[in-house]
Amino acid sequence: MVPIKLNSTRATPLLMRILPALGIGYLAACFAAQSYLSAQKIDLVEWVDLKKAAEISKKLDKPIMYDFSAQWCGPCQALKQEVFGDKTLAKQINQMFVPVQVIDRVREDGANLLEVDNLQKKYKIDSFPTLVVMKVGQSDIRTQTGFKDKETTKEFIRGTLAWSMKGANPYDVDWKNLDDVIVSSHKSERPLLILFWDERKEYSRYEYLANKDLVKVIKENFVPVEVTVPIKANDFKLAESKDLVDKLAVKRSPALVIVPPDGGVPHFQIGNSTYDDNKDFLQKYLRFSRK
Amino acid sequence: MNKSIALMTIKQLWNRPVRLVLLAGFVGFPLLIDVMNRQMGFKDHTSSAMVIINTSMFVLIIGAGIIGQDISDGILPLIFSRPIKRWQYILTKWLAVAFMASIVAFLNLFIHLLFAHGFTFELVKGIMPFDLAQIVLLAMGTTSVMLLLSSLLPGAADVGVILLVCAACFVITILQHFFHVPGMEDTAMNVFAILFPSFDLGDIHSLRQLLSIEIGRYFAVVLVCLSGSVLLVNEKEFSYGSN
Amino acid sequence: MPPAIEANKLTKEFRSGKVRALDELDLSIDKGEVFGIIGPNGAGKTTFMSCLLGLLYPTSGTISIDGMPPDAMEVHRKIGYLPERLDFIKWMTGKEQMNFHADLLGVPPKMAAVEIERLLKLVELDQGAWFRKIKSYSRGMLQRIGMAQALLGAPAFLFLDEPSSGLDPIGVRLFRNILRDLKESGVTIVINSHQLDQLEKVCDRVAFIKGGKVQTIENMNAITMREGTIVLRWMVDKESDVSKEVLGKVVAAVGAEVQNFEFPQALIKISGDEMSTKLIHELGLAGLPVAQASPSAGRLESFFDQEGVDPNE
Repeated sequence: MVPIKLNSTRATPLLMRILPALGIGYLAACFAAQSYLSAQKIDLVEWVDLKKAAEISKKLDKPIMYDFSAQWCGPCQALKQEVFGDKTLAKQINQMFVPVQVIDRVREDGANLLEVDNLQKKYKIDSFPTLVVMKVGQSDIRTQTGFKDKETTKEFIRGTLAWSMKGANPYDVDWKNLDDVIVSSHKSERPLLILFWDERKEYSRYEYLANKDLVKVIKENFVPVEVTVPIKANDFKLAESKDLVDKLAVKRSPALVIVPPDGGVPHFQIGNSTYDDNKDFLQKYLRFSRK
Repeated sequence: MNKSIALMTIKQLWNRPVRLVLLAGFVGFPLLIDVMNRQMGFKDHTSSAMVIINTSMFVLIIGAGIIGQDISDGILPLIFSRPIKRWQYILTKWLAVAFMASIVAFLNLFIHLLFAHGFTFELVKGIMPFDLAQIVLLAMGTTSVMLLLSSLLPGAADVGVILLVCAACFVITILQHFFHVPGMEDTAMNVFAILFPSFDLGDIHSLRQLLSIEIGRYFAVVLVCLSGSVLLVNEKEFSYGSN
Repeated sequence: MPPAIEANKLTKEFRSGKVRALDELDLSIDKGEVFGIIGPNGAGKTTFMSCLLGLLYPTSGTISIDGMPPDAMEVHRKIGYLPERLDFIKWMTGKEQMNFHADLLGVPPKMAAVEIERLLKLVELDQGAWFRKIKSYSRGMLQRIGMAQALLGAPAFLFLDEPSSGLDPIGVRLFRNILRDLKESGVTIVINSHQLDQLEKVCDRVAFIKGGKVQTIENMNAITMREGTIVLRWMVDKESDVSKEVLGKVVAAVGAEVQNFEFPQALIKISGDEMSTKLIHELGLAGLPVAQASPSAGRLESFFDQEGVDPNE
């Protein structure tokens, strides 16, 4: 066979002979580096400060994933190594959630920080590890208690992602803006139901609202409006909205206020009530108003 | 690279109506889904994942038979009788197809963002530089794999093989989910990573992260595929007889 | 002077040696020569042509063009090729195809434009077809554009595989004239063809290939061949100036045979070059000097007869 010379149309440049070998060598180096790094058992999740989580979650429109754990808890360490130390899963968690680690320090320090305690109560945490995924403004949450294996947690993460990407869920009411409602429903026969909600507070929205019957009563009988507390100067554009809120003078939250359509006396439910209490409150008003 | 071959490759796409229709379909159909999502109150999700999947589809459509079709059409012997080095032909085809797929993928992303945000600053923010670089990376990666397959297989059989392998990966993933056969999903993910090589530029925060397996695999796959194609085509014989 | 094209013990095997398409083929072609290749199907003609173009690689032996291997860049700058299978880029127009090849050859654009127009006119491709897609071309039109692209860049070597196939008689004559002009400008031409009569009119030499080997090479410029008939012609006014008896005696004396005599030409069967030379000399001495002597049509066909092969297979 005639040997191929450099000026041949069929010559392969030297670079093209060397580069694949270099590529394979580079890959081998990466594998070596990876096995060295995984031996160090690094937690690859970029945990966010508890206090900033809600704000970041709202800004990035991502659900919060709370990891309730403790240093002494064996399964918590397994979860850390197998899930939080897994490059793909950690990347997914970092990209799709606002991850917050809530570490119980009762055994070590005697008591927890107030925020930790509040969160544990809010989500009724009674064992570790527990993963809780919630979305700001929605009452539904997803929970995984304990750590079975990597696959189960992977499924949980995948499931919550699908759930969190949906714009609506069965427990959610379409809470409207007060300005929009006043403009559009002047002649509505339905009473307004105004929810005063403070996101900073550790009270669980799930506890307050996540009930199918309650949601049904609201959707069928009221015009639901949400007012975020604390109220800022430019929250309302319409004077009518400002007047109404001033008149109601709600000082504590959460609060539910029923404003009857005929200008009648408003009804108030103030404080940390549960969804059952709230349902009773609404149904009482409806019975009363029909008489 | 060779300007004539590059222009010929680009014009080739314009003269393949079936492929143009497929491209229009793959750009238009997700847009339709976005419109429907909007109507139903769901948010528009032009995620990075969607950009990535779409870029691969565009490469498959544009690059099908990148070499194999030229061989089957019988146009290569005459082209190779001219003073052009075969490796230049290969690399030019690679770059031309990757370039075209990147343009279509970018337009696809742009159209989706336009729809989601209108002509606002949001649109510009949405077109992250990383997304564009990601598109180019994925386009060059997938095209290199198709180049190697196409150097071995006639016509557009390269796409057939890729789709077959994807179907096999789907089947083995089901094996894990329903029949709890362990490790199948990881195998499928690894095969996908070889067929559609890419890495996340956003992961590179420091020099240490350059030693990630994704990056190493990307360069290994792309360089091996490119060199493999050149070697294969250099050794290829073309019989020009009628019998 | 070294040959322009040289094949030395050129062997090409397929299917791991099961098929030996070229079997230690030896051939040399001089610069400026028009060289024909004939042979039955499967003889190795196309394989040889493909080796010349660097599309097939020899199993053993060597082949060189201008002293360089066929896949050298320098060689590819000098060759033009008209393939038998006219697989051009179908969606291109005729002009686009020409521009594409001119680009590949590195012909500057302005020069290319002039050259392309000249070549398309030369091959008499209808001007309306220049801007039509090649997929709409007839076989004859494909042949013409094929010749035009082969002539781009003024090649020093031209390889033609069945150049007249699909052409009407006018096209055949046009191509013959083109080849004659090219020969005069010193282009080395190799023609692979089944159209023996065309080869006879154009070629300097013709090789008969069979079984992957050159069986014989015929010099077309010689007025005779090993065995066959020659046509003798006299330039005289009256038929009586050419005595049939004298002719018959002289022909018999040299051992040849008069096959036919129709004034002013006679068809004489001879056994070889030596006999035809002697005959012409003796006719001159006998007062019948020959004005023209040429091989009769069909001399190439006799190769096939001798080899027991039907040239029309």
